[in-house]
Amino acid sequence: MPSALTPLANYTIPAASAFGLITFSSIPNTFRDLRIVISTRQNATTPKQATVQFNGDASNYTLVYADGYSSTTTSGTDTKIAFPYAYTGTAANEPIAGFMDIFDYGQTNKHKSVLVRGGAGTSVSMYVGRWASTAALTTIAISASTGGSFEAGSTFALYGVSA
Amino acid sequence: MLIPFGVLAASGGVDPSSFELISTSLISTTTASMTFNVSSLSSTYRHLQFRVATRNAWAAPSGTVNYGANAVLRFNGDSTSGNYRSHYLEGGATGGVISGDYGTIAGSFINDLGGVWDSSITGVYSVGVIDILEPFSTSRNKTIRSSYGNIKAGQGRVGLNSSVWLSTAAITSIVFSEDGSGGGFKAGSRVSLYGLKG
Repeated sequence: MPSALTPLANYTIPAASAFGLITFSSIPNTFRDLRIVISTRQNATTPKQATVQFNGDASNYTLVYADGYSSTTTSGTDTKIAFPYAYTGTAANEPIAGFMDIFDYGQTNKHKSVLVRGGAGTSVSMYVGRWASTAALTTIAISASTGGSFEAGSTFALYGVSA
Repeated sequence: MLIPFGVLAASGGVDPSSFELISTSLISTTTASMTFNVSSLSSTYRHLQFRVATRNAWAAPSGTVNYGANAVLRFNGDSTSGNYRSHYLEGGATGGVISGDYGTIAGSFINDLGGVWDSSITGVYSVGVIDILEPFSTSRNKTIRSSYGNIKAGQGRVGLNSSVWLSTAAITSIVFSEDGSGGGFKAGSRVSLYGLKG
């Protein structure tokens, strides 16, 4: 039986480099779901998220988040889809690891819903998000915080989950 | 940095051949439940996973703040409530982070995966991933772990669920149903079953 998990793209930011934007493009509409897996650090000293946009759309997003930091919990809403915080202020060599499942990304009768789970040594997070569009998803852009960049060694991988 | 489709980095490889699609149920007419017969899978897979996107055919009851119908998984036809236990950890648009115990309900009980109410914006679905760990073991009770969520206009929640079926019998059948709120899974809903080798 063929594999149901197909690697589509995989990128590691090389040494002595930094990028503020990673884009997966020309995503084929031949799977049921997508999964993005990241392991990143940003060049910042305070917590920063990695923001995700679909098909170049800068709006039409809703997110519900639930986070735990040590003994503190918080939840609420946001108007963007993102991966949990990643910042240089964490211990050295401690990236944020997270993954995002995008359900029915190619279906034109559904908004695009995502589940995100991630964490680092001092925090754990879960999100649900929705892109209010029935367009088939063809491009995913992952951005560092404004003015920031992903450090060398950060990794980004995209997988297709079979229908 | 633009990553063209199909480019693989030099470091880190993936062998995904241990994760296989078994079936996808695409709902075309309203249905209350789906049955998956899995006895033939025991020699091939170690774990099972459902990936779902669901919508309920019933409009939301008025006067209540709720997110949707709930899903219930029953194994081998066992409807004895004392044989199941479910817990949740959730965060919502309001109300902070909460956790709780559903007590004894006749099935693995998972919030929201019975589908958002049909009064929601067209195109909105509850989504989730349900892992059934070692379903064919005859020496262990069965653990079910779920991640789920939905967002409607002004409301939404994300959560984790952990359930147990107190039986060491190998799972031979799984009934995936909504919790009886009255609507059933609406057309457009889908439930996909995957097997994980190990």
